[in-house]
Amino acid sequence: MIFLEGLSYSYHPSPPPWVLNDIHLEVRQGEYVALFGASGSGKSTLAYVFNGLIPHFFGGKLKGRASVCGLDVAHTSPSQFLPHVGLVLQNTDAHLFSGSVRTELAFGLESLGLPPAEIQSRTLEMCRRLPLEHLLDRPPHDLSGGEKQLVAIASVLCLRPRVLILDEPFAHLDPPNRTLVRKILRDIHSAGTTLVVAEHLSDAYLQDVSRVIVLDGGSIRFDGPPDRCLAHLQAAGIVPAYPPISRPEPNPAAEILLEVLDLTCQRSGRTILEDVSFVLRRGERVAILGKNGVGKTTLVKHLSGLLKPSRGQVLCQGKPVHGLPAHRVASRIGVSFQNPNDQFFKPRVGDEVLAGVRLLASKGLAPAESWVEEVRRLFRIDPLWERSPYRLSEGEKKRVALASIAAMAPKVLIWDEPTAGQDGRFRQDLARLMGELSKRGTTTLVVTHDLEFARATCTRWLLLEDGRLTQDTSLPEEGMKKLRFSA
Amino acid sequence: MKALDPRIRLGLGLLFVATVLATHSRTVLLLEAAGLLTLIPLLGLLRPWGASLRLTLPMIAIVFLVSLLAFDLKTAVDLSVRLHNLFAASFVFFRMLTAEELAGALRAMKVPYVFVFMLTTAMRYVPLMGRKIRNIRDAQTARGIDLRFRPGNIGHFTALVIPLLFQAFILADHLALAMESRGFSRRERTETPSGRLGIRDAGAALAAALLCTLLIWWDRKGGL
Repeated sequence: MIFLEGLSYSYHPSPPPWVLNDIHLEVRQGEYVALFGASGSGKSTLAYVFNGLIPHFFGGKLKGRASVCGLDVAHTSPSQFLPHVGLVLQNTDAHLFSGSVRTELAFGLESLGLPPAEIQSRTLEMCRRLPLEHLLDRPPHDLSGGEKQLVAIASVLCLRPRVLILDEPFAHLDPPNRTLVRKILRDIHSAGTTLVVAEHLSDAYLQDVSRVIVLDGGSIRFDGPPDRCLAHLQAAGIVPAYPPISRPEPNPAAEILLEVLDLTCQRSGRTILEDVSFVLRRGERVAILGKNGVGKTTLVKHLSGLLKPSRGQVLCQGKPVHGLPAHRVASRIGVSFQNPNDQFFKPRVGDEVLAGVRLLASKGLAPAESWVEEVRRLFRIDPLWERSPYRLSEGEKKRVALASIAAMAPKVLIWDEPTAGQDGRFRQDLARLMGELSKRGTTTLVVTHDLEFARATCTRWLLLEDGRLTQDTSLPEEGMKKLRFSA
Repeated sequence: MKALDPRIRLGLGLLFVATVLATHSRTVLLLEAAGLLTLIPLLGLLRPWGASLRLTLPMIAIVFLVSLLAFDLKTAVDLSVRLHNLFAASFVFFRMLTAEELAGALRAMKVPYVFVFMLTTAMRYVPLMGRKIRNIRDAQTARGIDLRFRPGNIGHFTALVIPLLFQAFILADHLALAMESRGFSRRERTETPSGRLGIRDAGAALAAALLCTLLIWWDRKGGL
């Protein structure tokens, strides 16, 4: 199905740098391949080769031989690959561009010029295979993350491709949605489709695949069965090796920094948060866990004063957060949201990190210079100082975004999904940072559905289910394993 | 209204907007305003109309003030009512026609597919960009940057505009990638068959054409 011989590729017409370097690969019909690689390892680039986007869309320099489904990649455009190879892109907001799920499913079929009756029959068949019928008339942009991924897969599967390529399908999904997508991929594979899943999350779906390929620096580091890949995944920075953390006994005498009292949020007649109460003490490392859509981000927005509670209140060192000027809240509670690109507006990393510090200085709330220096050292920002934040890797961007918040010396740091879309090397680094900040008395609250990360870094877990806090626990190691999302 | 063929709804929308643009006399403008304000609750659009006023009323107020200072009260009233009518007619038009229906109507009218796709995709991405603006505003406010609409905050808006522009470019790039990999550039695209227009469609088109002709004729006569 896929045959690569000495394949190298560079996005620049006159290399170096080579993003892919001397790749030899043969994938046979019916294989289920997991293609692993850390950020920047070249796995998305390789996925683009499989349907001809490289070289026809990106240009650049392609060396060596590549053929997919018997078609030479160098001479076959992506549109000619359409009936044979389906590619599901990582960014579902871009992949799904039609006005409704029905027209989304029909788009590729219309591109093939199929008769309207055939388009309708394939759309209905897809709805029988995947649970989509109830979504058919909804706009894709209004769907949840899991539903979007499902529709993106279906939009390609309708074309009955012989090879299905998925670029990071699990990156932004919570465990129940991961389980759903995993089951669908198993079904697709058992129907005879060749599957290639490019990922950097090593998850339970490894049990489903027949073969693992590990990319490192644009070359294949490992190609073999899943049961022998772990050491290579660790060496390539895909599986994090978390340092053991100390689990101090809860200290009821430690200073209370943040109090959430009967917090309730109602919007358009719907209760999003209901009677949520907890306190955060100095130096704690706390995880808030929960499925997509249970109100985690709404809670974060209340904690940072961005939303006004319908009932109850949030107190920071005894003072209500809502109603305080933005700079006063930021000097006490630092929030970093999921997408680092939402923050960047300066041309240099240095200016970006110091933007908040300078703002606080202009209001007479400047943090100590020694703290800013400490943050630069802890977050290893200096090598990036003169670079443009837009040109960094995803991991570096996240590091700069977190550092720019930490530099303002807030007593409480809130990180919303800090590991989403990040590789193992970054997650490991983040665990180290949490430990270091905790030692310096900073309280860290991590909102995540990355259970492994939460287990490795936090000493206290809060579980949010349907807007209610159902568990607040500092469990011993064995007890933590019992804490699971209800699917 | 929803029962009408999208092509007729598109035609009616354009006809009403054109009529508003073509009429000047105060009586006709006020009559148009009364008609539109009656139509909005009848179509169940009162709530979104109320929400849209937060954006349109300040603009109407600015036009009123500027024309009052530059001309006189009569001209200021006429221009404000006309602008209001234009907003109201466009509002009803866009609420009654989804991007999907607009695309179907334009394709049925043999408008080139590339043009239809560009237009409707731009419309579909408006809510997504709105969500991005909210996310950026939240992220920057959480950093202490005050982005409320106040004169003193004008300098802060680079913190909103620059990330938004950057993300719009990224999205455009990814969209082009997705379109290419899903066969947008293939030539043999299926033509969706368009449904036949019914008696109700023809009746609505005829009634609207008569009404608009009457309004324009009355306007040319100088109103009452």
